[in-house]
Amino acid sequence: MIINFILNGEEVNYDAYPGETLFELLRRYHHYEVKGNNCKTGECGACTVLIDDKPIPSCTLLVGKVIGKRVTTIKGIGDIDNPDLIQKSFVEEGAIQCGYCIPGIIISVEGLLRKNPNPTKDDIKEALSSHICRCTGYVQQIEAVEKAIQKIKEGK
Amino acid sequence: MLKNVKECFYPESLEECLKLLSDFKENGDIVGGGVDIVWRERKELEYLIYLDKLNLNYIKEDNNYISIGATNTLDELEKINILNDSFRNAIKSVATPILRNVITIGGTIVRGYSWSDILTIFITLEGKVKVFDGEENILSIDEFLQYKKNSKKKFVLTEIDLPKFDDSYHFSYIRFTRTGNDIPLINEGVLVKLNGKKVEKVNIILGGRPGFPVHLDEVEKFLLNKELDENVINLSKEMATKTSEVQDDMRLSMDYRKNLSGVLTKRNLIKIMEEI
Repeated sequence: MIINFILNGEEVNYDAYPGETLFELLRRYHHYEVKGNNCKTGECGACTVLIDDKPIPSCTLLVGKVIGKRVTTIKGIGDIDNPDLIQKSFVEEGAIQCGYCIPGIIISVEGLLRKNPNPTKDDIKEALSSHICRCTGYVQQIEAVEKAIQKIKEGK
Repeated sequence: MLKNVKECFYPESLEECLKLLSDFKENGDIVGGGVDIVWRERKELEYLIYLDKLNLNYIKEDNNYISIGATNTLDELEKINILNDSFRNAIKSVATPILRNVITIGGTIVRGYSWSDILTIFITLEGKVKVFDGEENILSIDEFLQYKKNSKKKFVLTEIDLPKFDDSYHFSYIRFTRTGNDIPLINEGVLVKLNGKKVEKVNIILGGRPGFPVHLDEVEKFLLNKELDENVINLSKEMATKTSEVQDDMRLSMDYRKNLSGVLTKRNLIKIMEEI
């Protein structure tokens, strides 16, 4: 089936299998657009993308649900040459080690800030609760999000 | 990947949706959020039916009920501010934020897993569902679970209705899990209506037993016309432990569940007492 949606700001048309997930589709066409498919049940959060402005695990989302939506992957947030403020803050705060879970976490933080530009520490913790990280222990990640919010406020 | 799926359908009316379900029989199913369908990878599934064109994504209020369209995701329910935030907090305790962004309320109730948080919450709050099987039926959640088990008709769940509660109602929900985001090993919801300081009406619903959620009838009877105090709450705990009908499964023993049912009853009643 042909499906169309907006991927990182660009309209795309893909020939999709009707029973595949968005994760599988993006992996087939873009290889590295979303990170690892760890759990296939949405529990680990590594493959999270924004659908319109909501973070959703792409491994649980059938392609039939994506038609006409705005999809934002980690590539739509920033890359190594042009990282955005959240990504910069994660690097500066040492919130990344192996990096497996980080794209999903960045997407969730982006979704949180689009919904609520002034989140409390509890809001940040709740947003990060969707993600399993076995390296950093979350403390630096919470600090990185707080730093990113500060930077956004200061317009840096 | 659901390898055997051949085609997706987007019906524009309930009648069309029902016809597709009837034509495809066990080879077709409705996609709510899709989490369960992806996870279960049913080999027989060849046709997916999406409800996106049926306009079931709404939350409306009238004087007596809040009506929730079946395709609302759980995060949308967090916007419903009733029962002093207790309802919102109960919804927020389910799964993770990213999963709540995709799981639909209709899909959760139709799947009807016995450990479901949503079933326990909505049975406690006396929710009703609207089911279309050629005609519209309004059923309590308990009745719906029986309908689903016994009726051979194909159906579409279209709406969930919650009563609007006045200030005399108080609600608390607790889930017991291995980790915060896991499915509950046992869960319990308590709804109390007070007349002055005395309990006029009470629902205590125990879920994940591991069978379907049930009332703790003995404890409910005991609490009627009593004031909630430490002594009454401790006696309720003992009674819940003694009378709760729970079972063993590979995740938890019957004894542990029995003890937990008492503990959850006590904690829920304390939360409500502190709120009064």
